[in-house]
Amino acid sequence: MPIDLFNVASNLIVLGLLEGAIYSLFALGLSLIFGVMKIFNIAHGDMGILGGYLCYWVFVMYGIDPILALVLVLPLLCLIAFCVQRFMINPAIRDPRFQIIASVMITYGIALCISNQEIIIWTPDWRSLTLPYSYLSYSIFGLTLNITRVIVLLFTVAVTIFLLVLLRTKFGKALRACTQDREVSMLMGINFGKLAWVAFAIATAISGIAGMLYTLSHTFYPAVGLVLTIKSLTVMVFGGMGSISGAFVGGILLGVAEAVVAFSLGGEYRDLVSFLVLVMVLLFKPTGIFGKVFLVPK
Amino acid sequence: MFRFKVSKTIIGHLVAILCLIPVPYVIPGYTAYVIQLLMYISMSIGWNILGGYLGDLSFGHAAFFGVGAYTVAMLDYYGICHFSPLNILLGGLLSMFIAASIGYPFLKLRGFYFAIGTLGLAEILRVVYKDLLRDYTRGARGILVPTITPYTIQPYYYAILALTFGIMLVAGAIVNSKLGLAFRAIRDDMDSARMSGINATAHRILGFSISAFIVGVIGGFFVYYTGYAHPEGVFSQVISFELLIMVYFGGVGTVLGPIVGAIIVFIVEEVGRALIQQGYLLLLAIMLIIVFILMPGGVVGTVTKKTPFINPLRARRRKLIGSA
Amino acid sequence: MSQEKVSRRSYVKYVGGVVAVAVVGAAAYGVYEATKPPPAKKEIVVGCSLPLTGVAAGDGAKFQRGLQTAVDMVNEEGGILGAKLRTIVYDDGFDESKIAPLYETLITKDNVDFLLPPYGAPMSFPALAVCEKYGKFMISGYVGAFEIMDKFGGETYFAATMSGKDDTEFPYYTTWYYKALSDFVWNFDKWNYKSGFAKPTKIAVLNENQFWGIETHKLWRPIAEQQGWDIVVDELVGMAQMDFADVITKIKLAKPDLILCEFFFFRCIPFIKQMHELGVTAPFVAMSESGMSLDWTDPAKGVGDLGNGIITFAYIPSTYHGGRVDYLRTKIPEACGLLEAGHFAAIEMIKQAVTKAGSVDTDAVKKALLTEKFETCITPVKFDDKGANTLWKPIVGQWINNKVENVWPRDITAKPIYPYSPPM
Repeated sequence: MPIDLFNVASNLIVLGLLEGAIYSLFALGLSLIFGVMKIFNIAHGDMGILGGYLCYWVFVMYGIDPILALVLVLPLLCLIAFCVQRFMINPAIRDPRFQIIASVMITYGIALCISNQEIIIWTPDWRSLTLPYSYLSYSIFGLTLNITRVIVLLFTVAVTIFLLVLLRTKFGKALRACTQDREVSMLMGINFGKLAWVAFAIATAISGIAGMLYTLSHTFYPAVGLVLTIKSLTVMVFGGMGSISGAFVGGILLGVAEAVVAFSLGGEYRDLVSFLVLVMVLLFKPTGIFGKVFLVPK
Repeated sequence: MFRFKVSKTIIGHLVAILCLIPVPYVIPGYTAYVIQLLMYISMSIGWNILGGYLGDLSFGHAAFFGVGAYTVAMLDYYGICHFSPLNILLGGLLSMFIAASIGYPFLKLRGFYFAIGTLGLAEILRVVYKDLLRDYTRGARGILVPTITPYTIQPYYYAILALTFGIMLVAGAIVNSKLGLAFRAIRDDMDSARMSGINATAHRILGFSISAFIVGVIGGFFVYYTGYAHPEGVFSQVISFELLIMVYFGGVGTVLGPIVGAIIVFIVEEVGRALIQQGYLLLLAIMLIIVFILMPGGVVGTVTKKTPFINPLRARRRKLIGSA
Repeated sequence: MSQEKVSRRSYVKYVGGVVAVAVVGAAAYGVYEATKPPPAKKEIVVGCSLPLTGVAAGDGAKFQRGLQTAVDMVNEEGGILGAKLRTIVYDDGFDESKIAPLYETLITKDNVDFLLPPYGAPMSFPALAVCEKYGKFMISGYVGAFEIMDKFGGETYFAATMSGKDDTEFPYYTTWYYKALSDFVWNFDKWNYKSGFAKPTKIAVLNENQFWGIETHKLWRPIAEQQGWDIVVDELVGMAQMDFADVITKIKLAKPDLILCEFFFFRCIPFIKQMHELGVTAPFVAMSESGMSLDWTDPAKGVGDLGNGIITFAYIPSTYHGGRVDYLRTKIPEACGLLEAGHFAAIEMIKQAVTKAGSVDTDAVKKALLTEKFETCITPVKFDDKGANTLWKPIVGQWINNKVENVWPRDITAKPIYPYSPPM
């Protein structure tokens, strides 16, 4: 009996871990945007899920595997990100005093636009992806894992490594410089405008991948975007803004915490976990676990 | 703490209210619409006290609406009290109590984090009323509150009209008083305000409580009027968002802003829903975006060229943000 | 500072003036409208609100389609008592707080003759309260709950798909949404035809956290006592919940002999998928409320073996040809679940009741509803004094190999094949 409990509990925790991997991916993108542009992109989750919907659409219309569909969808997503940033976000955040609030409100508006477009195009019904290989399962150390979960894990690791490598390149160094001090970086000759939109596009691409992974392993609907944004925000704050390892670890921890809470209290309480964690962190340790960048004052 | 000045603003409001008195007799078919509109106006004014005067944006004001609503519903359902003005008052007081008690830790968060915190509060309260306390609140089945028999709409209409006028008075009194000045000082520069001797924390808790009270009272009225309280309905994010867009569209921080914004957004919503159905939320979201790009002061702010938040003319100047 | 005061003062004057003019104009218009002589009765108006936007917009569209099909059919055939039928449908966005004002508007401003309920019991409650206020009633082909019939049935509410009290041994006549399903549980032994399957002793019970889910949830204990079951898992699942890992883990730990879950069909499928993923082998009986249109949403498409064993309640069995169901089937061939048929049946009943009563007067029509018999696309109807349908004989089907087999009642059908284990 105890071994049974251990088996079951570990299965639950591993699943929670893999849920959390998706949160980490979203948080990575959010963190990148915040670090460079100093804004909170509330539309982040929605843009990711839009990517997920687009991959789903490609699969339903043409039969192309959603993972391969990323090749088509990601550039489109980057284009959308560029337009959003250039024409909507930048004009709104001109006054640095109200940058945060203006960016929040505008990205909130954009998030609603995106989720409403999704409702119009794909209806608000629940949807799920059923692929030919959807029912494959692997048994590892006595745990049963569906293949989609394994795919999630692989992608998360890949993206994290990609980001870590990216930060060592010249571009990455410019990114880090802008994160620390924008004005000095510009004085040093970095073209901030260009860097900002490239960073935004990369972040959105990452969230597009995360969205595709989410649609691969869950039943989804348009309103899920905002929920994911809040969760990734929690992860970002919890792990420390601007910290990649923080986002990675934070996401996984959040996923496990949610699994534990859902098991002990009930599924209804699952989404509360992220709010509670967010508020607790902000009250008691605003810099997060691995915090390197402090919160922008007001 | 504050003196009651009868300014021209108050007179203007009184005139408007007087014009609205004959509505149920003159345009009886539209009374239901006007009642809804008045509810939104009152709630927008209440939100504006916290978000506009004090600068603490709340993304989850539905929390207080729901608390007020459920207080009334439960008092009536359990037969504790059937006297409606008292129940509504108690609804408002409980909302105020909740705001005051979580105010201290919450107000350590500023700006955006406070906003997310209130969003979380609304969600948490929704789950509390729906699941945690489901044995007392009937959970997802909701609570029915009987309306007056024989039914006439007039008492409800005049009740909300009186409530709206009262709330306008309160908001107007705050704006013109020393309290209002203190609020504005805290909003614009908290540190300087503190150095001038204003107890920022106490003032913010007070503003939070007043705002919560107003919205709680309207929540209580809502239950009496519609006759039903349900956790998904009264704690809904849509209510919070609508308040947000109403105030911002009208002009946050101004006196007339919430009123004008509520009227315009309400009309757009009703017409939009009738004409383009699915697209009306999209329309509202686009309006929100336009507000922030073109007229950050909202309608009232841009028209009077005086907005406490963003001077649209000044913002045009290029700052060191760079171009993209 | 003084400049502010001046601009505010003049602004107030300006706004006050505009408001005054607007109100006076509205007043004048209102007087004009009120004193206009009423137009001759050339049309009959039916009003309702539907979730045309928001999370239930897909379902709302289906309702509207069924409603429009019925209205077109009635008008093609000459209307009701010579008058054309017209509908007014408002969008409630699946938001409870909008229902009461909308129904109030339908009654007071639009002066509709008849009302249909919105989508679902929680939404119907405020609508019923409004109807009661004004002495109007609602008629429905699809929704109901024990509390609704208790409070409003027969006076304010008539439901073609709620069965009346009778003398079966199962006392909770409408606390289950469908009488057939309640009978199924009560007479559980009669359903076990799979050889080698032992009588369950430990069961897991799952309900949805909404109106009738909660009503049903309260019932399990007395039923379990009567059957000699031991309830080892007893959970309410959230309406937005599509990830059941926590619940399934509990089930895995508790090792029940049978899982009884009462979900909508589109929730059954992800649940079964996850059971499979987590290696839960207990036989399950999923009782879905969504009626026979099993191609309802994406998760059900191509569901294949996974759907095996789901018991679903047949609104319109394929063998039924009563009312105008054949017309409905030609117009909307892919459907015929509760969403399309619900309002269609209501319109059928309205037409027959008004024709029999000879007028649209509320009391006359109500009397006709309580005394006459009707034919609808779902079932023949004869209301008792609590607004429930004494002729409601629901049929239960089980989803087996991409087909729905009728499994109950036993006198009209042949093969119950339950329960099913998830495919491994």
